[in-house]
Amino acid sequence: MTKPRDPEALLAAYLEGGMEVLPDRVVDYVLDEVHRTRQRAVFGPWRTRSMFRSAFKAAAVVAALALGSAFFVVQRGQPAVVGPSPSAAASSDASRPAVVSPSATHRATPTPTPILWTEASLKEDWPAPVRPEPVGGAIVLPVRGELGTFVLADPADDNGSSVLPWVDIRVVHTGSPFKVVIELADNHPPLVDPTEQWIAYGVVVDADRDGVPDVRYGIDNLPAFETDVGRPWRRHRGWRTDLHTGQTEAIASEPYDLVGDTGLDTFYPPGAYGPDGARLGFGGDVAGGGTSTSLDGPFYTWAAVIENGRVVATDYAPDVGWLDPWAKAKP
Amino acid sequence: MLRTLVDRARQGDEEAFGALVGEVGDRCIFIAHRILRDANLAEDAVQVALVQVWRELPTLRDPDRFEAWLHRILVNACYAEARRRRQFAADVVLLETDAPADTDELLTVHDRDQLDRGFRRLPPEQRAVLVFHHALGLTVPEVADHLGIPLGTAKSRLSYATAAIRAALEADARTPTLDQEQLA
Repeated sequence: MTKPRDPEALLAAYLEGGMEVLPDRVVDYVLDEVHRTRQRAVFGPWRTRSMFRSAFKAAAVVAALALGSAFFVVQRGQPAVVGPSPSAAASSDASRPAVVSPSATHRATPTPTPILWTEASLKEDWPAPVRPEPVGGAIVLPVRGELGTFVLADPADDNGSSVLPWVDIRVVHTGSPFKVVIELADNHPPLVDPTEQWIAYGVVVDADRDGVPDVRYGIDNLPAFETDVGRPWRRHRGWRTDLHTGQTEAIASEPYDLVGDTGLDTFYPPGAYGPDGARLGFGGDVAGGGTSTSLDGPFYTWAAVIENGRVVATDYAPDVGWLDPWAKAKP
Repeated sequence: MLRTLVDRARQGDEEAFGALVGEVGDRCIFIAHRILRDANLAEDAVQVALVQVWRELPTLRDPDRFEAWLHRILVNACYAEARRRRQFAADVVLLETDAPADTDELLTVHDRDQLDRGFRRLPPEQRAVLVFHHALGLTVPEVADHLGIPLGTAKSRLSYATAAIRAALEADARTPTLDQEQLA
């Protein structure tokens, strides 16, 4: 005999079952952690976005001048570096990382670029080459996909190395200002020690829409904690670099955490785990009534691999210009 | 009372935060366990979320919005745990020891198995919408508010998730003896 089956009633009944009391051990753990954890300092919750934008604009002018100076210096034979270490970040030459890729076409150079890299770099450097970007770079409008997503296809095999397809960006898509997904020619980067192959993905944002990179987010295959060493499918390091000051903040705890005032949710599946590619989630969800920001400016994505201290493959999407789904997206 | 505790905890009062955990902890594990369907993952998610709540409390502008704010942090922690589980899935066979006992005559063991299978196939974002709507009894706009997503997104997630559950039940109804046939 078949009885009537109302899926919603069955579902509600199904969801009635489950834990209802938080175990004491969890409460004890939380209170112990709370005792050891400082609360986040709030210096100005009254600050408005426009105030941030004004500050960004002022910083952008300074950065543009610095960028020009650095470019001039590099033209004279200064070696390029891959990313700012915290110590370098504090220096006034904050624009140097912007010259890693010498390619005028903004594509990875098949010829490896020397970088300043040591074992210590694994703790203090950020493997993120920044695409040289002319001030006032063009806006790229993505195609609107299903369910309100935005999709940008990137040319295949444009990363300078077809043997590293996990650096070859195939598609970038985003459904909201809170998430960017980078799909790769091979979404399964190898389970490899970062000293052998240092793999990183990220997003560079032009927060004030002036064509000058402002913020760079990244994730790489460094374990987030010592307990994650040897278990690379666990937590990855994530970070945010202010490209005007060179200051870098790294996620200090879980895959979802705050860097500065931005929630950053990093994920990519190494080896055979998962089909998603690299994903960077941003902002607002965690803050609710708080102060977090979302990804609301034009951006481009990047992927890079370093071997033996050299950038052996880099890809950008878009290769030229800024992706801006929130400008005037095509219907 | 909750408002008072939130205010005091925002000022760094650990004792008040302890009391706050006492007030909201059961609700947190209720939500997390129903989204994740795994006690260990749910406990981990609640731990992470509550510590993050403590750390971020000073950034909460409106204490009256505490509950929705807490829920957003909690579901994000659940999403992270769900991803971690998926990443481990290739190595670890999870035993179904956390399955709740049948509590309702409406639900047969067979129904529950089918629902469990269908529910676990859903992405955690859709599970969360189902839990907030069906288990907590929130309206769809309230669900959107508590999850920090647009109303349209909440509606579409609810629609997809409900359709998936319905499909799982209907597929089972059409092929009630599939396993036996396969064995034959």
